[in-house]
Amino acid sequence: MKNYLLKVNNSPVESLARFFKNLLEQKIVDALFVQQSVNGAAVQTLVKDPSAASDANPLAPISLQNAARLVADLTNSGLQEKVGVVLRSCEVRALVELVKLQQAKLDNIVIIGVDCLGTFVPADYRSLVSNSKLVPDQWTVKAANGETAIGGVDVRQSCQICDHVTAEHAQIHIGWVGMNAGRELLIQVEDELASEVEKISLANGGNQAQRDDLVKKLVDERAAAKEKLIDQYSEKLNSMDKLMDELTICLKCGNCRQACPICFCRECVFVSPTFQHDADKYLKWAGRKGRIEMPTDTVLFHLTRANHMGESCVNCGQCESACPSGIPVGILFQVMSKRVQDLFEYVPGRDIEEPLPLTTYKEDELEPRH
Amino acid sequence: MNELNLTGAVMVVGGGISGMQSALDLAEAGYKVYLLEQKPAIGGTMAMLDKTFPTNDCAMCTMSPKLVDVGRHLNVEIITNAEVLGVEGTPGNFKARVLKKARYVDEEKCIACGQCADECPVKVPSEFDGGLGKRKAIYKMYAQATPNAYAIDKNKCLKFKNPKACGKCLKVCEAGAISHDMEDEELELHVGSVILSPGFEPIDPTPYGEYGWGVYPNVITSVQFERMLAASGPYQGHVVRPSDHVEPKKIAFIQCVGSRDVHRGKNYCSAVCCMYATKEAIIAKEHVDNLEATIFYMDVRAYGKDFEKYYDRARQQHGVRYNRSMISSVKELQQSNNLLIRYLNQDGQYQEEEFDMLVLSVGLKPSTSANDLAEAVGVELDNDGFCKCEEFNPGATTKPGVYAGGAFVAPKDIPETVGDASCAAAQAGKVLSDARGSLAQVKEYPSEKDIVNEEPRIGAFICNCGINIGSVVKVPEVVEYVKNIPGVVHSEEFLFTCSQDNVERIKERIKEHNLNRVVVASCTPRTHAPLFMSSIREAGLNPYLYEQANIREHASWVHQDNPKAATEKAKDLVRMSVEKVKLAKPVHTSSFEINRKALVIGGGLSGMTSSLNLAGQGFSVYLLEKEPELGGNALHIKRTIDGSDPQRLIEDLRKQINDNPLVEVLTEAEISDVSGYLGNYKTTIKTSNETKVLEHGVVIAASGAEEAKPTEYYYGENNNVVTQRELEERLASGSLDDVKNVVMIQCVGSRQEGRPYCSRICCTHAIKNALTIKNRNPEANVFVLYRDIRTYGMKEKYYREARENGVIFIRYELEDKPEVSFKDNKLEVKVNDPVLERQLVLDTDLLVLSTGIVPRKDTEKLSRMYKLPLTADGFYNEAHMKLRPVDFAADGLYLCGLAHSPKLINESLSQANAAAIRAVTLLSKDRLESLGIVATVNEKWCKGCGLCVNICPYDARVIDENKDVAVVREVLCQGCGACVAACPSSASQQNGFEKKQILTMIDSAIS
Repeated sequence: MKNYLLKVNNSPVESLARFFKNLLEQKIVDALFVQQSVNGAAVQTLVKDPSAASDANPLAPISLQNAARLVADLTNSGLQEKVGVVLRSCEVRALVELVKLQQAKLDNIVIIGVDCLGTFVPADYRSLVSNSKLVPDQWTVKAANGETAIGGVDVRQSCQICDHVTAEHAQIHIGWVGMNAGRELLIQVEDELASEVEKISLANGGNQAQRDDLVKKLVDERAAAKEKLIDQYSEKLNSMDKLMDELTICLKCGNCRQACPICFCRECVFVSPTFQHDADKYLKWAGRKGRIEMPTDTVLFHLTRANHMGESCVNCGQCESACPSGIPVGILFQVMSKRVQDLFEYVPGRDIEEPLPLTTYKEDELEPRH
Repeated sequence: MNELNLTGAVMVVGGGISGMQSALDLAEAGYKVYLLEQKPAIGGTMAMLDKTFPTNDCAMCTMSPKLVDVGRHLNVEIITNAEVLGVEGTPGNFKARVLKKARYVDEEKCIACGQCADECPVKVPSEFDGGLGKRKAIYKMYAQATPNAYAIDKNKCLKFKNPKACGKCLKVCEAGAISHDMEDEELELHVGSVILSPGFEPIDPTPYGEYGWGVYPNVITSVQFERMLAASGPYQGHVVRPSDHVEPKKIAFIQCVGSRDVHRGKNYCSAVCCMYATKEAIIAKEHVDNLEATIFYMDVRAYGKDFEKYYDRARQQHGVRYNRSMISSVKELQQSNNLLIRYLNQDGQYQEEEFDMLVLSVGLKPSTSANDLAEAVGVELDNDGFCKCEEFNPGATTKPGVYAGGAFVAPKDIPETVGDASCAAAQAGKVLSDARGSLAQVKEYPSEKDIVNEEPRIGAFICNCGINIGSVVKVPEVVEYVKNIPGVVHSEEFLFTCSQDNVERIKERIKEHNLNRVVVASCTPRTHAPLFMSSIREAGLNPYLYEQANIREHASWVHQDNPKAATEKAKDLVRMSVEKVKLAKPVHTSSFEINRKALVIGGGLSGMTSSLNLAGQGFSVYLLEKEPELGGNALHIKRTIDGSDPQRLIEDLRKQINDNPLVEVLTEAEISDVSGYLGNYKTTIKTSNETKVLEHGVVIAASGAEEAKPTEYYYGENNNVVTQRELEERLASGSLDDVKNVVMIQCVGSRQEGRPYCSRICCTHAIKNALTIKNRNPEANVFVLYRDIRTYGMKEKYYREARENGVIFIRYELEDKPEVSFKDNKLEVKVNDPVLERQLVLDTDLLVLSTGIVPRKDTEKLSRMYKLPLTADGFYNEAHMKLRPVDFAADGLYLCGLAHSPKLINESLSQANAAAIRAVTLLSKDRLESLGIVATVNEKWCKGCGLCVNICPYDARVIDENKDVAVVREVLCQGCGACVAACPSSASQQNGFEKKQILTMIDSAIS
């Protein structure tokens, strides 16, 4: 990777939007997949016209969905043009898993990673922005030191314990954490792309030791917080009764499934005929137990999701944000997926060549580890 | 009939693992097989074994599927209690006279309930248990015996001594299967070829009085110990001393009892004892905590594939102690019945040590019937009583058209036995090729009734299994209960559902009641479902409209003491089956055409032999060689230790290949791309002048291996340091006649870290060259520095000859390797002689390094292209170490020769023929048919994630690139269900085990 600096004149957001416009103008990419600000929020867009990238703002601390799913759908049948996709760490990692699951392809994709210290719950973001408490430029400059909260409102819980700041596997990476973001942003470019990106006027980036130190510090702190929270929830969920208790208020709306970037089935088995039973079956069950809770299979639904997604869960926490009942689904998932991932020494999103644990077999894989 | 009037049938004599393998290969290849066995059941010695080395697989678990296959094969007729009286005729047309001694039990009627044996008052020592246990005068040899029927031991039965005396068995036999009036029969069999595989017998240790067997109760043979270890054996797997039934704390094994002992007759090594003793020691230590096991040996001959690692594990992980020594006497201590062993240790000192139990590792000798058999058939035996076979024509006896397999030819381990058995089948197949299929039967069924739109009409048949079920489960109550389950239109009980008349009755009931589904509640579906499925098919129903409830193993047997609960459970089990069968759908197998051409990779002796056998059996072959000419490693071998000339063999094979229009040779050929799968491969090759796509159905990997090049002892620096192969070439050119001192170092680079395996042939190779030197110049000194001399089997005699001719053998330890120095233009070897306890300094004119064999570098490339698994050492990994030595796990891929593991020429030739017949079992089919219980894909739900593709061990799953969904190649699918379990979308289901069917059963169980 080569380091460059993008000069900023107070507004990192605007400078970055120009950078994206340049990427399109210089034909470094033919299209751009990037988050853009809209009225009090930010949405993912696919841009062909360079002038339509003017609201590009991947720094806005909001993420309506894990964009990996959108990229997967975009690339699934193959891309004919080169598309730059601007993604956060959790999105890149989810994308890698989707590639392994053959739901996404990386041909003609240029991954443009961006630092992330977390995103707010969309409703919080909108109210903070409309009350002018959150101005993306100002927030970025301030958060570059590591402070994300605004007046007691902080980014999502999953983000607070996320130990990834920079995005993995990026061919171009945009760094703002640990930078003087009002003055300059760090643009890192992989060697093969460097000569092309140099068409855009960028300064030499040099060594960024100070940034590296802060990133490491934040990662360490968050990793510690994560471990602590997982321990706490492991205790809280260490029996079937406790798990059922936690899930009592689940509506079975399926939002968590919808929000999950890894959940890829065409039709969820829980809405399929397999789980549509005849009345006499329900009555038989009710007869056997005296009463049954309706709808049935709520806990099974969550356990099945954990079973299917556990090994690939990248802890983006979108399921938790999507839960209308406020069940901490994200952390619940982390508790379960961590066990599986540790057992197989598997880190989702780490390496595209690393096979999914389910597809490998080692004689001793389930033996107790020391 | 074919032009030559060949008879498309083969008589296989001997029903051990060797005969079974020959029979199955030939039957699958389209011949009728008569499998003769002297005893009342087939299975041979392997059936007696507890576990097998080096994988510790349960012997019976691995062989019982073969027993079932042989027992059920339409084209294998098992003739037990049989003896060959004579064979007349010529290859292709033999007439065999066979004496079939009376069994006194009708195999067809007997359902092996065991009532007769329970009642029989006569107890005799069981031969099967090595005399450790007892059997009755009416008996079944072992639980899984095939045919699964009892037999009467005429010499022991009281009724034969006095017709009025007993007859208890007759009274209890509900099946009416017993008749003391049966008479011996003489059969005349018309066959085109004969395969002899009467096997071996353990050497009787009685003459070796110094060990006290038969006198001291706690001295037992390895065969007895094997039965002691077996869970199904007389001690139920408990290791205890025969004298007091107390667990021993310290046991010893004495090796080479009866083997390698020229003074008392057996001048050969029995080839298997070192490894079976190692295995028995390991297993015994697993059975008894803190057991100490010591093996007294001369050389540890861990020469086979993965044997050395097993030997390492025995010492390092299991703590088995190996003591190199000669036993001089064994005495029993009167109070304890312990045994005091006096032995000469490797330092030449006498030592005494006390043990609780002693196991004699008895060797192998030709079976006692071998002489009579050889005489009756007209084949010659060698001096040791084994069957005489040509070195370069493996399996061919002295009588044309008669072949031999297994330990009838020489003592050998199971994989070689199985390989040789296939080789014998291949040889017979070559003779009879034109008659293939002429006598083999194919079962015909009536067309199937369409029941898709019918309401379920279920017939449930509940079995009493004699009194096996009926004495515990109240069968009439179950019948009444089942009648009331909606959908059941008929329910009935049988004494034995599997008896021929009742099977017929089921078919009648299907017609009578217009049944469209059948449930049988009886024993395990593993053994009996095929019978019942086939019979409902005969009645016009799809065989998968069937369920079987196991109310014997799962109810009456396990709940013997609680008949009431057992009856309730039987009802539950039947109800579950009824609910499942309601959802059963007809399953149709699919089939596809295959390309009948074979690709043989490697033009060495193995590849050439495989190709010629395939061509001899009528199949076209592409023979691929990367060098400009055929011959491979054998081009460097001037003579074998047995005196045959490999160059002449190469010449002969080349000529045959040249003359055979079915073999297309492609030299200087390299494989660049492979696509397709079983039956339809496309292999792209590049030769010096073209690129060509070969279409073929199967692959035989005969890609060889190469001599390891040493990195030590001045090799490559000094002209007088050579490998054994280079020595052989120098000897052939006659340039070594004036050499005085030759030192050979064995195991250079072998049996140590980096290359942990033994290369099997180096000891023989070294002795061959040493003998040549000594014969040419008796004055020359030849020193062989070795760790263990591994002249296994019949090669032992050359070891003796070498010693007699003055070759000096000096042992060294891995930790104390010989040192070589080169000073003042002289080579000098220093070695510490453990017997003399001093360092020897050997002036050396020529230093010869036995370097062993390593896999070729391109093995890995081939492995990737055809998905051929490799062992940790880099050789090809066969489907099963013991029973499938030349098959890969995936159908249509075979291996042979050095690519499998290091071996001698005749062993490679045997495997090469074996691989050919294995391929023919597939190529001879009209079409390949899938199993019924294959996986399916619901394309509507499949998201093409590919988990099933990665997880499938049979290469039966692929992604359809156009539709982005997974598909099942049905013919490759083995119905294991791994893909179904892995599919997150429930898009995969398995025929006969669909989610809904299983959930319904569970619902039914708990409702």
